[in-house]
Amino acid sequence: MHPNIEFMNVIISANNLTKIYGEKETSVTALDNININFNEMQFTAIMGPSGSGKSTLLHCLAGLDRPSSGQIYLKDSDISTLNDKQLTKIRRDSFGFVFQAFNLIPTLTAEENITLPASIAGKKPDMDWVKKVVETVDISDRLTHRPNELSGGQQQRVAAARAMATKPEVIFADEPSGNLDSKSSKELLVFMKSVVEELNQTIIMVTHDPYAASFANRVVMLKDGKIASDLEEPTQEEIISEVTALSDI
Amino acid sequence: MFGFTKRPLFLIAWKNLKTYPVRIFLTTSSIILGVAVIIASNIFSESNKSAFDNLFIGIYEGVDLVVQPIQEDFAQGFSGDGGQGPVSFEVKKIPDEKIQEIQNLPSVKAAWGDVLGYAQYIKFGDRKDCHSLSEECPRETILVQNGFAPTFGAAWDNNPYAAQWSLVEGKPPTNIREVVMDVLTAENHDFAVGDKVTVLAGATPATFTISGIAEFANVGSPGGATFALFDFTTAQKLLDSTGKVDLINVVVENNYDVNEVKEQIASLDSENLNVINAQEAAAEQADSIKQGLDFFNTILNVFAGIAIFVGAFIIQNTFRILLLQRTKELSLLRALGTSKRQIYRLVISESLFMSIVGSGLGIGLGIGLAVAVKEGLQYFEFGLPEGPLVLTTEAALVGLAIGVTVTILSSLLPARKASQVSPMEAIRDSISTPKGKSLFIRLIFGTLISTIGFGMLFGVLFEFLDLPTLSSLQQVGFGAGIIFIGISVITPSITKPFVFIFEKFYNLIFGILGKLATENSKRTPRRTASTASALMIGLTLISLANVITTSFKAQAETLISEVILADYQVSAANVFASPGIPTGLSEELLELDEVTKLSRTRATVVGYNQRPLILGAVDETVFDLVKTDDIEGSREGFLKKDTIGILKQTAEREGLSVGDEVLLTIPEEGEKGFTVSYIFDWTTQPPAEFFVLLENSSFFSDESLDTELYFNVYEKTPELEEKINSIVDGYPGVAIRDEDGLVEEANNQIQLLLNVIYGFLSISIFVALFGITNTLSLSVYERTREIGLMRAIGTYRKQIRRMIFIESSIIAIFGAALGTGLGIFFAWSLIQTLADDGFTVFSVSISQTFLWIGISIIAGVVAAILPAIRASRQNILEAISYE
Ligand SMILES: Nc1ncnc2c1ncn2[C@@H]1O[C@H](COP(=O)(O)OP(=O)(O)O)[C@@H](O)[C@H]1O
Ligand SMILES: [Mg+2]
Repeated sequence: MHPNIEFMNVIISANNLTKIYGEKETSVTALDNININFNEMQFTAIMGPSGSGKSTLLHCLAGLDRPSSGQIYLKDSDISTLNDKQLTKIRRDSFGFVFQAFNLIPTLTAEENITLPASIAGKKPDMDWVKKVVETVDISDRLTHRPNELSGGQQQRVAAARAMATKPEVIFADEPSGNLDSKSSKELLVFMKSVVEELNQTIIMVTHDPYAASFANRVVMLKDGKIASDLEEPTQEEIISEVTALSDI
Repeated sequence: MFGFTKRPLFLIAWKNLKTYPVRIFLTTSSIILGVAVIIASNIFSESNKSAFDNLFIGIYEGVDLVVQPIQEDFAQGFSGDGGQGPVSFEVKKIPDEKIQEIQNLPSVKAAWGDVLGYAQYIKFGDRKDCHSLSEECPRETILVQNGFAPTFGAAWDNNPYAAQWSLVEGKPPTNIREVVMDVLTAENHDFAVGDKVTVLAGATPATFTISGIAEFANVGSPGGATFALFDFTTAQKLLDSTGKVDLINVVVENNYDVNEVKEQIASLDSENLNVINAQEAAAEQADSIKQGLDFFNTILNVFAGIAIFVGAFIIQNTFRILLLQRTKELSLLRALGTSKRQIYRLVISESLFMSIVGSGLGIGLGIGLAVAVKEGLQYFEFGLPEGPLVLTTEAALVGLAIGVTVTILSSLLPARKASQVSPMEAIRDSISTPKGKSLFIRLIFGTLISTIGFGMLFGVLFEFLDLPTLSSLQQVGFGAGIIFIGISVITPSITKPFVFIFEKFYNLIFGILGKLATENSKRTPRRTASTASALMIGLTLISLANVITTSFKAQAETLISEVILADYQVSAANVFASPGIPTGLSEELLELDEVTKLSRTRATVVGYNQRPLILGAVDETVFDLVKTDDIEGSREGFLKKDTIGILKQTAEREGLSVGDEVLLTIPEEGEKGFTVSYIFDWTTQPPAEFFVLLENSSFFSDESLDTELYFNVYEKTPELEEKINSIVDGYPGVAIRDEDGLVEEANNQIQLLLNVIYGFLSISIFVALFGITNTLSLSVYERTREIGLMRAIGTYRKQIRRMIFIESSIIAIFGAALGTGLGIFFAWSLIQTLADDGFTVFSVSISQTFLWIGISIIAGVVAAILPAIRASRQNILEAISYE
């Protein structure tokens, strides 16, 4: 049985999650026996130095990569043993994604990109919800535009809107503001926060930027594939000092 | 580090090819095929030529001179292509006495005659179902033939000096009841020594005993013909040569000069005898057969040309694609200081390597193909002479040269483009698709070219432009060619509008995948278009062939129902296999009460103005049974004695009108004058050009064969049909058809031709497949990230594959639709041009058209299998990672 079943609001969790890349001598342990729970309606930031395993953790949680050992539970079902088809269906129906770059299909309009997961599923998107999302991320007037007609910030907001459009259980974001200028970056993060607070979404975001992380309810620090610290509602200063502490060792 | 190699780029080129053998295959696949067809056709024809040379040299081995009769002037060059069916052609022969005369010359060691004519072996099948118990039920007669080869009868010669035929089994024919059969026919049709066999030679079939089975100069039978070999006098009697021979073989005494003897014999009767050296005779006979093979060879070469033409498109496309995939590598070379010129040379030297490898493979494949063709023909009992396959150095070099030239030429443009890659490209992260020059310029340029083509084509159709030196057919052909080139130039500019047409439809059926696929094909219109063009070529030719033949079929159908007014038509079952219809048949038919009207047609070759023409003799009733149109004069006039009727075209050509005198040279009758009384149009294939009434012309009365019969019956009933059939069954080699039968027969012949053409043109579709595979591979490669992203957000592998299939189908439909449209249009133009020659029906077979579009789409999907699998297996993380 799920070990953390007592947390009623746990949405996704990792149990003894280990990820090793490569063969014997040249192998790299990207994740080293990680145990972690993520709660519903929370905005969690995963931080850590470069190469600490942030992306790997996100990919494993999101069903984009397979753990070498350990389990991933979505609610109380183990998704680490699913086949490609089943995983794909989970990604489509239960998860949303915002990547650092190349988030949108260049031949589709913003609106088509936003409804893409629903279209792939052959479902009619919930238009009331989509409208609400689109208003929240403030791109209503750019819907008929193609990605190359949008600014970087707008593109990321469209991506965020797409990630939310299917009312997923969890939204995964890998350095979503990494390529943006500070103004667009702030706008995006404000929207993401409001999505969690107002639309009751759950976001797990990888970032190395303490400012970005300061928008989160919780910050998990990784180092060498292990959880180094876990901060609840930290301020930006607390985060910076923690990051500095980690990189000093 | 490259210090010890003077040519680092050459080395890179070589390494590249060694590392990516698949590239060589993809790029050169079309060249391999094209070269293979060229080589195969060449080997095939060369081998047969040499085999036929040997065969005919074999025939005349031991013979020094051949004595032939000199034919009447008008008949010269007429033999062999009588064309219109069985015409009793009065060939001059040599009287028997001449053999003795020649033999008596002291310089002649031996002289003997040859007789050759039509003879048809007949087998009887099972008794047909028949209802009447009292009568004897007729059995089905089967005309024995090897493939489509002719059927001959000849004299068995057991001359000690030269044996053309040698016995494999049994003994020579010694009396009027015996025949020797060629071994090919015996094997194909299961005959053995001692069997009884029916042979139709002349008018009446007779039964013989097979006394022996013989082979001809080491082959079963020359050219696959069936041979019935009789003893000399029997052969003369059966083959309409009583007391005569077709030629005389002469062996010269050892101590005489052959050329002197030649003069000697010629001087015996220089008016009637022509003496030639045996080698010459062999070469002459071999040549006439080789010409037939040349025609076959030409057809094969045309198809090889098409394959290579399509191949050029694909090579160019593939090169562009491969180079695009290597943009990074090339730009790195540029960044390291390689000049544009050097990059250009790098690419060209790669294409040189590839072309040599490709052409080499093509030659190898060609040899295999030739073996297959030979085996295939043997399987179908064509009886080609045995002999080794000959690949001349010349042919191999030509194949190599064509392969190399086409490949290099096709790589010039892509190489130029590659050399222009910016050194910065290496540093950029994204895989960029280069922006092409304006499609608008293409549109204008292409429109201009097509306009010229349309001008030429419509110039003929609407009679406003008639280019000198070109016939209207040529002008239309050239116009069509120019339109085709123009359209090829335009295609990239019309890709978007074209895709737009069925975008909505695709979105509706396939949802977002349809949308993505259509958007994708619009993204690189140039590439989509050039890939589609390769398919377009094949489909243009296929639909052209399809429409032309469908129209011909429809034409034949209307023609037959319009112009054959008779209920039944009787003719020789096979114009090569039987000499005509014995006159007894018409007599028997006329005895039936139900036969209300019957007309006979006979024909012979006569001389007019020193040229051969066919003179036909008809019954008056023919005008009620076959549709004819009065042009000048009257039918009543034609019924008078010593008058002649002339076909409209002939009258026009010869400048004859009613009342003119015509002087004809009639074999064995001499010159005879006629008054033109009637000029008319014979709306079907006319049996002759000049006509006389059968009852007025004594010189036709001793003919024992009719060429055609038409007759009407009181009422068509199954019982009557059976009665008629049982009468006709008594005349083997004669076929009876009603209207449906005629239509069916015409259709079958046209369909057979069409199928052969389809077979060859499928090669071009096959070649186009490789182009689609290449294009899609690139498209998938370029969209690595896009596809990865789609997978990440929950697109099934199956859906990714489907998307690629849809994209492929768009390319295929684009090419197929353009090709089909062009083909139909060209066919229409062609038929309009031929309107004056009597082609009036334009008919498109919708089912065949859609069949081929369907085949193209399926081909497109098949071509997409590999790229689709590759796309769906793409590693998601690699695609989305950003470092
Ligand atoms: N596909 C891979 N193959 C081999 N090693 C990898 C692969 N992906 C990541 N790694 C290694 O795993 C470790 C964690 O990487 P990653 O999760 O990308 O770290 P982060 O995102 O925190 O920078 C690094 O040492 C990295 O080199
Ligand atoms: Mg990372």
